Amino acid sequence: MSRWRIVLIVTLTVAPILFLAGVGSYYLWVEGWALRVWWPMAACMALGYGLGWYWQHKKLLLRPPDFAEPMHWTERDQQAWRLVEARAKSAAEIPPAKMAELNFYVDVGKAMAVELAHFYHPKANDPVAALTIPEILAVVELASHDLAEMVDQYLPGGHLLTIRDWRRARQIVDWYPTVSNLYWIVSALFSPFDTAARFTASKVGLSGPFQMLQNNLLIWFYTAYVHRLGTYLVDLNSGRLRLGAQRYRELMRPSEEAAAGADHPGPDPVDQVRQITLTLLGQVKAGKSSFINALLGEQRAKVDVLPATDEITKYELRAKDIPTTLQVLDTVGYGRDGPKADQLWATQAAAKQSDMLVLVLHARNPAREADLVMLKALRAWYLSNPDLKMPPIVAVLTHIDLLSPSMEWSPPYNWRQPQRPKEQNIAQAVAAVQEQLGDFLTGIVPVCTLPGKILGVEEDFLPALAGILDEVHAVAFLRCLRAEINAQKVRKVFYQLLQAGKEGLRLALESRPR
Amino acid sequence: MLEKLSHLFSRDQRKADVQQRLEQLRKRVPAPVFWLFGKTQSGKTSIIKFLTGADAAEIGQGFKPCTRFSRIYQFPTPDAPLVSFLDTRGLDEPGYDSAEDLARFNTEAHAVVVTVKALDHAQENVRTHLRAIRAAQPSRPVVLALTCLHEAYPQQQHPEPYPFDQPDSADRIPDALRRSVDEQARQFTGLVDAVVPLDLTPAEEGFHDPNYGGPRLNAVLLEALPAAYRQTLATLEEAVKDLQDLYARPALPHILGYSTLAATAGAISVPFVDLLVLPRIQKSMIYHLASHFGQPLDADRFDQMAEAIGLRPILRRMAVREVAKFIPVVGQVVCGAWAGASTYALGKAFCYYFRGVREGHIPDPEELRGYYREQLTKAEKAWRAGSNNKEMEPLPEAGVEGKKDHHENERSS
Repeated sequence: MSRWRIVLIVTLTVAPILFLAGVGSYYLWVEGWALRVWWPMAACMALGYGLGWYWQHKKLLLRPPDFAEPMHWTERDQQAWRLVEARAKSAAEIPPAKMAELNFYVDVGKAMAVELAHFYHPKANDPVAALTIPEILAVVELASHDLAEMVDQYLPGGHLLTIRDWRRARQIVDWYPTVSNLYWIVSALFSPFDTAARFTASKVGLSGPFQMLQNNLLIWFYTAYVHRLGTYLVDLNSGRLRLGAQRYRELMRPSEEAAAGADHPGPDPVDQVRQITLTLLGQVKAGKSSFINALLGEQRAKVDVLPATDEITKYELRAKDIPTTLQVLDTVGYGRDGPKADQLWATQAAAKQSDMLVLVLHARNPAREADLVMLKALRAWYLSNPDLKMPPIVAVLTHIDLLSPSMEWSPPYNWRQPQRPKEQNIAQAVAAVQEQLGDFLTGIVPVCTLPGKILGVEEDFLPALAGILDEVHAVAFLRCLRAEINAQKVRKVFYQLLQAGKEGLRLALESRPR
Repeated sequence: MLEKLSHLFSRDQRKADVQQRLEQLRKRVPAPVFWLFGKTQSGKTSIIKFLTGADAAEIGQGFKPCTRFSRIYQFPTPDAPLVSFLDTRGLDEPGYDSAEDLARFNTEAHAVVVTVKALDHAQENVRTHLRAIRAAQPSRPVVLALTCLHEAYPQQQHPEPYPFDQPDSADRIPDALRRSVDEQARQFTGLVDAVVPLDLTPAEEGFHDPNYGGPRLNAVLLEALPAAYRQTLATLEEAVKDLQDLYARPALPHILGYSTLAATAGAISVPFVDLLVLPRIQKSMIYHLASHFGQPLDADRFDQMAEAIGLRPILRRMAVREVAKFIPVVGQVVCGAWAGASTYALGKAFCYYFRGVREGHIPDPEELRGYYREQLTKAEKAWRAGSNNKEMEPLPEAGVEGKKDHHENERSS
């Protein structure tokens, strides 16, 4: 389409409207209505301007792309994200003309890749060089896919948007004043005084919101671009894209989808992500095994007045409110004999294999130094493994039946709004744990695990577990991803070698002189 | 000589000497010192409560920090203590080092009481530090108190009567508890001299016997202490249990504390300065009692009151009695017992007076003196019986160091 054709079409389309506007204005002027009709029109325009300005200002016409950090991100990823966020925030300072250029996006993409790579590998000279081509392609694929979805979802008529449209986004703005100027000239012929007043008002009024809308559109796209690209660059640098875009998407699939498939747990790691491993930690005689029995609803773990668990034991649990299978590991209590390095190591190893930790504490034994030591050791380990996320830790406060008054047992006890002495003592015990270990804990649940007096397990513990299920899944995701990457790396290299070998063989066979 | 005399008559110097003398005396009072050792909330305060009769708030306020990891409670007052408790509360804190506490308490502590909850087997930390304390002085008795027995049988009463001191009643102990107690005893073998299972609970917990196993602890501690200290503890126990005079009972430990201090002062052969020490102790006691009964005294009111209630002659007569101390050996014992008993009787007389004031009939001097004499006779008898097995070495002459300093100061000024 050449320009003169467009001009012709626009002229033909607009001419009747202009004609009507002219004739209408003339009529109103002749009839002497001009003044009376003007005010409501001015009011409409003022309202339009007001709303336009307000909504633009509040970013309600085109919402900024909202972004929530993926649950599986570790502390280091969150720090990297701050770099991305800063770049997205600076969008307002970039001239709109620049944002309309395609090359600008390529440059921004490169700059971000280098910036994040430097963040993750601060000591490397050329951190980008270590990345593999499939990984980079996976970033491009995933980011593009997301952007396409967002444009589809949020931009009206976004699926019709062509590059040319994009380039012309600026030109359209230029056209609008031209057309409107034409209108004003025609108007002025009929009513020079009124027109002058209206012209000034509309200049201030209309062009402002329009300009803003256009700029916002560009900023919106830019922010969305930086966010999406940033997200996948973070995952790339954390090594999570080594499996390829396809596998990544499969593992990331929301947990609800997979819940239906939880009945057939198979060896596939995708199912393993759905299966949560929960490890019980605690001092000797804190009540870990009793808690497992209360959780299972039957006496399966051996309990005794003397320490009874001397090796890590595994139990499987299906709770009705939790859409996953729970693997429960019962560990050996600590704090009894001198530090038995191997047992402590085994307990810590189990903790590192879990997606959630349950710290079992005795409500009446407030000496918790040993627990603190254990938690600190675990946190230190996770800090030295920044590609893994520390699992959430829920504290379970057992033996609340022994709290004063010890002769009384008449549940339920509403310790959140304590009234009775026992409720107050439970609340105090919870507060004490919060003070001692609160930094490490996502929640504290007081329970009684005595058979026949079980309290707090179904009422409080399982809901608390359900509440942090997403976080738990994120931990499981990272852990399984790491395991799979380690196993797949080797397999992939073999496969590629094999393919290359086949190709070589084929070439050799083909080139063989017959 | 002249210097010495002028020295004696200088009021400030005399005061300082008396103060120093009191310091020395406090160290020699046969007040047992218990080193309580155990995790937080393992029952240390309950044991103090049981042994002294003081309430939890009083104990909480009475504790004064003394090292980085521990604190001390001197009962009833640091001024005239009858029994002291060291609480190693830092045991659960990171970086606890028993060496620091050992350096401070090793010579002071007469017995160690290890508190362990009967069902809490996470005692690695306790045993590690206990080993060091045991090694520092193997002859010092260590008693293992296994507390919170009821945790083994929640919401049930204790098996009665107390079965742990009767060899043939093991079958009355709930199985879980018996095995746990046996296991604790096994774990602490070689570290402790006696094991006492007990459960000291506040009345509101609803146990029939709130001092379950308490008498046994008392017996074991009495046996463990050196003879001189045993007497103090036994007297205290008796006083705390005295049901005759409920009004005066909370004040009794204070009176006992001052009389013991006075007895110690009286039992030591004396330079002139000791003539002043005894009245000083008695005066302190009366001030203390007055504020205890909510009627604090100043110096003038004290004199007035002593005169009014007819105790003035008694106070005066004591100075005369002091002279008897110059007769060696016999004088010491007589004086020691007499100083203690008279202070005790004086304290009781003041209690009697304060109670009268409270009840609205102020006792007349004659009645009060009668009461004093009655108490004195009783107390003297008891004290003499108790002091037979006390052996006291004479103190170095009081104020020697002070004097030296004094001279040096004079020279330099």
